Amino acid sequence: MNTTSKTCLLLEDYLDGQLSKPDKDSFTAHLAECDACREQVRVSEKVRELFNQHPQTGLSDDADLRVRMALRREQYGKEPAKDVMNLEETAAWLGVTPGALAERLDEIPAFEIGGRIRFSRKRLEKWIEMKDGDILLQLQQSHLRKDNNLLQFPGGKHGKQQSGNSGAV
Amino acid sequence: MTFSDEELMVMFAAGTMAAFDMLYERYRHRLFRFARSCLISVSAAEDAVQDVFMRVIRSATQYRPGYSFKSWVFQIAANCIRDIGRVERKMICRNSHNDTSGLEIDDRSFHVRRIVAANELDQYLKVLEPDERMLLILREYEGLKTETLADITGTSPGNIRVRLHRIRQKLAAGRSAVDREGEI
Ligand SMILES: [Zn+2]
Repeated sequence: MNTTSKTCLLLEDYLDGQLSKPDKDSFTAHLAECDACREQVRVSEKVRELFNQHPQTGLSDDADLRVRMALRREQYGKEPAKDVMNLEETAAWLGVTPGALAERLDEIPAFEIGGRIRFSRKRLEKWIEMKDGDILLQLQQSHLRKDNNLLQFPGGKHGKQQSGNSGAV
Repeated sequence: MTFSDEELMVMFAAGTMAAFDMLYERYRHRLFRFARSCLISVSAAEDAVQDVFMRVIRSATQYRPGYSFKSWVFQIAANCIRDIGRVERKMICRNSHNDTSGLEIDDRSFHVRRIVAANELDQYLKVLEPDERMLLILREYEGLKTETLADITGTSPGNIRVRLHRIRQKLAAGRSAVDREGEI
């Protein structure tokens, strides 16, 4: 095995495909002469190939449920968030005030059972992901503002901010 | 616009439980696969996933905004897996008079390796110590950069390069040793 040179240090970047064209060219030339680097590349390729041939499965549904339950107990110190939640529970889960939530109700997926407003956690999760969270962030900001202004709810103001950038993101 | 992991983590630290659920959704399978690759049993890997997210909850306030969530969570995962792996190996060694077919056990050094029914990957990696195996998995399977690995392990990128180099040398040597054995 030859001694390692400065060029050998480019190995990891080469494996990541991170090298600029000239660096890549010089490393490729180096590979032809350096046994040590060739061996490293060979092993790396072998390992990556074996990982591809033997993919691990994901977390099973059973285990997923168990983990979620345990995490909920940790977070809430009580029962996990339900699949169907009322306004209060949904607000707590979203980390906003019930008032902020109520104000934006027309923009949030909710449904009615016997005249009561309810939220499906699964649908909310999807909605947050699809809406990419813009609304959630605004809700949280209004929640933070409320904390600052002590019950002085910023009515009417944030309708205008909606389409503008929300700064923090 | 999609929330970045880092934004979600900041929101969770501020009390948005939903943000935590989204991080869980993004990372649960990935962390499970990582744990599964490092540990021997499925249940140990499941425990590891739970422990990682427990630690995320408990140390949410310690998360520094702007710090890569991925680095942070894999750092936590590496610690969890190391802890659980130690226990797992000890348990297997203690019960080694029972049914441990399929495992190769060295009581003194807590070396436990899957041998029977092990796939080609496990066979290939069996010359590695647990920490070496973990580093290699983070590098070759998770595709993490040397800088990220340095963050995760609390060392320098230079140190990571050296360690990876040695690990691959070991694999190359182990490989040829296995080949030689086969020839006898
Ligand atoms: Zn070289």
